[in-house]
Amino acid sequence: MKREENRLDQEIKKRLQEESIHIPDLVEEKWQQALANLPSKKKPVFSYRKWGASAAAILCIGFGYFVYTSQTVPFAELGDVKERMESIFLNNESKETKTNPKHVEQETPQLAESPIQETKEVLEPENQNVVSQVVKEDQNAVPQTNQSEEDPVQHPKDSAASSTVWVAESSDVSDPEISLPAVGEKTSVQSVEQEMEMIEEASVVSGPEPFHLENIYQQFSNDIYIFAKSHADSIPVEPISYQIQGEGIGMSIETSYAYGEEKDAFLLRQTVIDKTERERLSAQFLFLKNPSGTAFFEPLELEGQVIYIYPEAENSRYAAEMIIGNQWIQLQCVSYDLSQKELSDLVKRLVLSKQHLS
Amino acid sequence: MFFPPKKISKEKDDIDLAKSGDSDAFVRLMEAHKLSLYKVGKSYLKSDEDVADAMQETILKAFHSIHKVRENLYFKTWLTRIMIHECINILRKSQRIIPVEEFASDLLIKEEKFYEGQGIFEQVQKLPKEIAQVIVLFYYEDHSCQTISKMLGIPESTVRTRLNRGRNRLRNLLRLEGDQADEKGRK
Repeated sequence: MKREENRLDQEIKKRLQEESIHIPDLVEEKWQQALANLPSKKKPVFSYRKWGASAAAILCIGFGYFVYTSQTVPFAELGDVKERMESIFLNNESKETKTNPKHVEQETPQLAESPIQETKEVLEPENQNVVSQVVKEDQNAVPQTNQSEEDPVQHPKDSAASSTVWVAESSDVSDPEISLPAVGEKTSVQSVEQEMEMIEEASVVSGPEPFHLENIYQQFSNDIYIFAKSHADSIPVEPISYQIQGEGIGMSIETSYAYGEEKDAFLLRQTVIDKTERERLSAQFLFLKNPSGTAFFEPLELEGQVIYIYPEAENSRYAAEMIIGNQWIQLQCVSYDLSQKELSDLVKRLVLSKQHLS
Repeated sequence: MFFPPKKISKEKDDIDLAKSGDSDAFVRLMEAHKLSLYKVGKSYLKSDEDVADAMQETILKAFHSIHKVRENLYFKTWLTRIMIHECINILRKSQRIIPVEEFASDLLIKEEKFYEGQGIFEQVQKLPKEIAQVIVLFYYEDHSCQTISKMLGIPESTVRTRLNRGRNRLRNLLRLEGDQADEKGRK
């Protein structure tokens, strides 16, 4: 049956295909017309599908960048600095050290070591001589530190490279033999090493005490200086405003201070207002423990438009965390082991990476 | 070593060229399949004008979407499907779809003057449309039942049934024609 069908199919095919089929002129004419009028087909550079993929990729990258910039993941270098900061200033052991004088003997040499090591790493090659000098001094530093229990801390006053340090007030000095400078007293130090030691001692002594802001020195421009001197206890929760009309900068800077939730934190808010009374920049700086009590603020002009204010410290150390608008910026600006230029570059990089300022 | 037939190989080259935007290659391809498209069109549409319109649309659509052809081997199938689609579109627009029952009843009346002085192809067009379509695709275009079922979107068994009907008709038709030729020869 199948074979019969196949045979028949073959026969039909043969008969059908033998017949010549003529295409009518009408059809032929339209056919030729259609072929002659084919639209010019250029290979598309980007098809819709490719456009879609490109757009999706751009959106993904943009979203990723947004997430990256909005998250508070600390930079690696800042993380290290923060850890070191915490180990020094936020370490419970230091508080215990204060309460238990026996621990001072054990802890003080360790505390004295770390800044020297850090200073050694960071100092630039041109300061190698200083480093070597510091290291040499450091070798003798441990016995000196041990002696510090017996002898009061000495603050050399005659110094060629004097740097100003405001020392926090200590109301609870457990060790009467450790003498601290008076509130707001300027102390000159000879070297970074000695200064570091002094600051550490101050922090150790003042451990659990609420942070006392002794002096705030604000430098808004070369022409205008505000010297805000206030005591920690006198800083109200409600902000205080300072209205300054700057010469040449054409803007007023409103500064307010307030304590944070923690007693050892200190919040500073700065608002820069331009001539049109519109807020140009609102920045908050939350300072954690600042043993030196020193904070420098200097205007930094970036891209010629907005003045970003960043904390900077000279031969002192402090940690700051910055809130700009709704953006929390981890700005552990520690001059601890960074040179002024390194710190500036770091802060610039941070601020620029958080260009959510309006 | 196996070498593909020259014609197929050349067509494959033309398909590749046409895919890359070569208009001349596309025209060559269309010319090669012009008659096939016409036959398929005639199995759907009565009017030559409609067939010409369907062929024009097929050319344009094929030209714009030839890059979508994945396998060059199935180019003819792909092109035929476009043509069938265009024919159906024209039929829908003109609402000239005649129900099968109605067409079959007409067929009996027309059957007597079915074969007089007409070619086989013309007589095939007078068969019920669904049978004519299968006959054209199977006998003229040499497609398999499986391919036809995919092209028309109907089960393969339906294709076989229609083909069987068509085969019987063609057998009668060819026999009649043969008889007529014999008679003419005697005269």
